[in-house]
Amino acid sequence: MSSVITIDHVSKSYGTCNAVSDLTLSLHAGEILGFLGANGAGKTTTIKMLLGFFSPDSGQISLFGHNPSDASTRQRVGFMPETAYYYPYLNIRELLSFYGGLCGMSSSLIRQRSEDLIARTGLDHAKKRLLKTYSKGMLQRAGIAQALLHDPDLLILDEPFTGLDPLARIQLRDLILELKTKGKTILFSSHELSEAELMCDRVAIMKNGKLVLAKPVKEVVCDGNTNLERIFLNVLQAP
Amino acid sequence: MHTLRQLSALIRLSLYDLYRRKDLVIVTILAVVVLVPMSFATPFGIKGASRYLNEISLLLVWLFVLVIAMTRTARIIPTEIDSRTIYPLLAKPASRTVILLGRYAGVLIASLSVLLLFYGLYALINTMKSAFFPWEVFIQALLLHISFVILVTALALLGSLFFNSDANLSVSGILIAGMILYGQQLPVLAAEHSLPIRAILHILYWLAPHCELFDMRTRLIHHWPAIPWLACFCIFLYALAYAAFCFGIATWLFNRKKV
Amino acid sequence: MNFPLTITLLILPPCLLFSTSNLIENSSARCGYSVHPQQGQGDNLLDIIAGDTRTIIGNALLEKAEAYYHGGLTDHGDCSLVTAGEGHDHNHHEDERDSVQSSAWRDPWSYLNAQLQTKAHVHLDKAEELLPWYWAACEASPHNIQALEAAAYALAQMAEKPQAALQLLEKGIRDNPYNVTLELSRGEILIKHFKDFKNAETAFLAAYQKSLHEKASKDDILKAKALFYLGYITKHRNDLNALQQWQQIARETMSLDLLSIRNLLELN
Repeated sequence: MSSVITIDHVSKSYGTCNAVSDLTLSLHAGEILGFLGANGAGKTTTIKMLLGFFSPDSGQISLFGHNPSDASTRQRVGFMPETAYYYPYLNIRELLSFYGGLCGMSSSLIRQRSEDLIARTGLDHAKKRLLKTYSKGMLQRAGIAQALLHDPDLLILDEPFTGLDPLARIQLRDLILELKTKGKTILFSSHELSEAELMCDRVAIMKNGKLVLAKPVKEVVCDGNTNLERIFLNVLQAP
Repeated sequence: MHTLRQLSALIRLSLYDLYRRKDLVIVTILAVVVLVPMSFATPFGIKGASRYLNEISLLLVWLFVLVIAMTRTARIIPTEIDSRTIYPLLAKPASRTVILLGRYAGVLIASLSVLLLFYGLYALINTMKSAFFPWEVFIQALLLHISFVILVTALALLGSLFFNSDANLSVSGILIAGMILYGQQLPVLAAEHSLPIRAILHILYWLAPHCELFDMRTRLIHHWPAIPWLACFCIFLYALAYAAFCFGIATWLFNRKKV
Repeated sequence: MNFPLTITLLILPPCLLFSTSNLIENSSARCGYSVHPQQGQGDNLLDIIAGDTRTIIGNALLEKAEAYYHGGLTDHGDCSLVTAGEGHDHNHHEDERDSVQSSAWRDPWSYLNAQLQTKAHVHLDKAEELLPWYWAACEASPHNIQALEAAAYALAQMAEKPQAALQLLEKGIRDNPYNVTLELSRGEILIKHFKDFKNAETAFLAAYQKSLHEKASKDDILKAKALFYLGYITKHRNDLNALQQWQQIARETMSLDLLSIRNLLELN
């Protein structure tokens, strides 16, 4: 199985604070990885390095075997940020048209993909409204739509379930599982352990910048008496 | 093609920004509120004055275009960072250089569209009111004003990578106003001082943007003859070169900026 | 700072200043504040609030009017004149232009700036283009005597509207009751444009009396001018006794006779 994400002994510090220490992790094609950890564990820093926003102090990161800071590498990556504040004076169609343009998509393709994604994210009724009138949950849906617009092979979702109502959660979960069946690779960071348990092939738990657990979900919860939440708490509370 | 699509998307974003935020509507209403009552004014009961209206119109055009161009440019990067829209933006397959160029070009085109609109109205009203209109001077004034906007937006873009938008507006505003008022006095001032102030003033004279070179309002209002076209193009090229220099440094900084 | 706020901050203060000036002026005229020796009821709340700001704005507007008179040139002593005008020194700058060209490579900014400046200036003969600025200067600062005088001159001499000039001066006199200059200007217009010697005499007499007032300017030229015109009017109506009387006052107070005053001040 080919490796989509390869993180090899990566460290990153901000001043004296070690955000990520000696992280080694890989993600294979078609896999869903739940990237878990408490606040400040280093999840977002890792995701930012994966997207090439900045380079690690040491170690190497590659996406599809290429440097993530190359613009061409990001052609195959879709990203949804944790807190989504999109351009408030655009409507969802214009937002998707903008991001589609940035991905180099043609107008007709953008139109076609936009309509499909607007419908699938449940924003059909609000497609003419400016984003400044959207609720937080609606903005999350807009974020998902823009991340999927150019049909990326790798999807990186930072806290995708935040602010979503139960129905939207189920829709997003179904969407993610559908993408998996299409062979897409998905990495998402989350505090929603139940969602991770339901969807992920593997989980990686970070603590104080270090990877403390990286196992298939089936192995983690093989004992019928335990669940991911309990494992997570045990890992975090361990000295 | 790919890069052109990216640039086109970024430019459209700035145009939406300008027109949806209703900045243009606000400045147009302000201009109407100021100019319409003035156009009906008959000081001391005597009619026939037009130059003062032209002067105030052009002053408002300068002021509004400068404010729009500067505020829009100064906000490009800080707003993207503050609102976190920078993350999905940088995650797209566009290089940072293209993103900065597109955003800068967008703001520039938006500002220049306002400029062209106001100059068009100025020419229209003047040609309707008077048989004589100094077209050559008008075109030169327009060209130099466009050059000025190119220069100040590039300056504000560079400033936006050092300061937040308010500080950037203050610093750029002081620099631009200072150069308009005292740009040509710097060598005289330098001659009156000893080192190191003399050296500082000379460096400032050679490095700071010569914003005083772009204002042809007096020539336009008082129907002076046109300036030599060579001088006009030299000033235009100077603005382009200065803007390219600022943009080059801004790109270098933006490519190294941690977000 | 958001955009509308920026614009408001830039536009609002001058608009407020002009729009409220008359309102406050009228409502506070009865208060009788007096901060300047030559001013009367025109001293108002706005003067106290705005301080010298109105004077500065008034002077700036007056300078703008002067620039308009010189075809837009602010530095009008330094250029050659194309159209014949009145009493300016006009230097021709062909040699300097050559030297500017030769220094283009040494100092391109200065060279380009020189290209933008005009090489010659004209005198505007259309008074209506100056009047808005004079009007604004007088409105901004009702105690700006120079503005009032210049506006009255432009109205009477250039626009040939002496009646409007008189009205302006009368308002100026009300706002500056101890000012001698305005009375003199009013008298001159009455003589020159209306041949109204009777009212002119009243104006010059008022000018002379104000010149003796402790609050008036101590400029002897104004007093001398008033005396000359009073003598001129009495001579015009062949009142030799009164003429002698003014002659004597001139000798006593200024050690000059009226003829010397005329020669000295180059009066017609």
